[in-house]
Amino acid sequence: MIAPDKIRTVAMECGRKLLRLPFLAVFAVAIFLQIMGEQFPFSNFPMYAGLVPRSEFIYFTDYTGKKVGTWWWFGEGGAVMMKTMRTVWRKESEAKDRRFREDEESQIKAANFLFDKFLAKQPAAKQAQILATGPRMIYVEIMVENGRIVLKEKTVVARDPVRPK
Amino acid sequence: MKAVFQNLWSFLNRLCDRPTEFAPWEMLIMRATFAWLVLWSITKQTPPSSQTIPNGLALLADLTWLARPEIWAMAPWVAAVGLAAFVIGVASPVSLLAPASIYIAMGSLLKSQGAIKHYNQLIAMALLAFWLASTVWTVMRFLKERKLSVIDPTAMQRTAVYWVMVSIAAGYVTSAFSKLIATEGMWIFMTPNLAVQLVKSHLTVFHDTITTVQTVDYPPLAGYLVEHTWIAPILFGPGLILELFFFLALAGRAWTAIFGLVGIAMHMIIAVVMNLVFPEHEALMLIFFVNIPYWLVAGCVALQTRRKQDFSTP
Repeated sequence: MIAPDKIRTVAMECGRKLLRLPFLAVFAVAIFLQIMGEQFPFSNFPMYAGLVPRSEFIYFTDYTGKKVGTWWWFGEGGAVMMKTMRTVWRKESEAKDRRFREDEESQIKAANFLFDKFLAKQPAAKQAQILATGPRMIYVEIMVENGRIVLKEKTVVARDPVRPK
Repeated sequence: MKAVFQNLWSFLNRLCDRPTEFAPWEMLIMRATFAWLVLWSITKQTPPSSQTIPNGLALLADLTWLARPEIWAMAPWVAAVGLAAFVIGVASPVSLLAPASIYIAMGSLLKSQGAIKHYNQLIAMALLAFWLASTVWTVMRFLKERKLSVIDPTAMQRTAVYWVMVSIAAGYVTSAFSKLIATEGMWIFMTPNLAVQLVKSHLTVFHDTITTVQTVDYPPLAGYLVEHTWIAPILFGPGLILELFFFLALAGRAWTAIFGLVGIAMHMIIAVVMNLVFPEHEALMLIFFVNIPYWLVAGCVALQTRRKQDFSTP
């Protein structure tokens, strides 16, 4: 039988040695950040962590197919809009089907939600100007197929041109 | 050969982190430039008026009140007053409370829109680290010595700057952890897949403004990376190694400066290759790691000493 005093002494000594480990603070904070994940102000900085051979982005056109800068219409970059759409799309799919599966119907719903959300942030005159063009949102999937980069486009939002009253 | 290994082993054994003995004037410059960075970061963004998908602090409380025009018109001024007191070294636990709270609340609101970007987490963490370290230091001192001071003691400032550096370095180390965890340690070998990310970031930036004519479907480098899969590990692998070993930036002044400079270089390369800029991260590196004022002064002192020695030698 080991005496409790002995156990305490050994534990204290181990603790002291652990605290003296070099760079302990950095690793402790790094592990804490990893556990916290994406909760501002903390982050595990997962940029380009899971390297899957596919990605996606969106852009906008008028009804004739002429491209329009995302910033000029919404005052926001495509990266933020794509991330928002992905979050909503995932939530839509999860709500529909307990097993996570991203379906096309949820994608269209998420895209239209996103379009309306960012459109609503614009002043009334700008909204009318955008709607008059017959806006389209194009979703582009980027993949590697047979050692080549392939871009697949799909129209996810299509509104008829609305003449200003 | 044995001697080389012995020397290397004893060198590695001596590597450890400790708060750098910064001079008060160095820390004054650090605080002033950091305060400017925080204020610039606060004033360049407007908090949104809704929190569609709450994140961070927004999970605990409704932060939309911060976006009310009358509140947001005042918030940067309140933060500026706190930061001014912080720069001159007045009671950091108190003076940093308002700027840190405003910055974290604003950041949480911005991240509660369904899209998380990573440009201001490091500033928020540095701010929180400074406030937390100075507060804990002050409380401990009060408990031990029953002393409180209005002006931040040098020892407390050094401890706080050390924890700021720890939080920044940990950000890079944890980023490397995320990459290794997500790919089960195979990140470097999967880097050819970064080609699709490269296409994404370039085409997203292009479609944001469409100020030029699109001449190619995607950047030629992306196609090259897919066709020659051995290039990507050479190009992107060093980035992962740098992040993973960023803890060494705390091993002393020279290490700190080297990692700061290499870190800035990494961000500059990312800006060119991926079209993604992180000015906030580069500024933090410049302020706390590269520490230009110290090296300028150290260089001048070394030159003067050498001149004196030259004159004194017959």
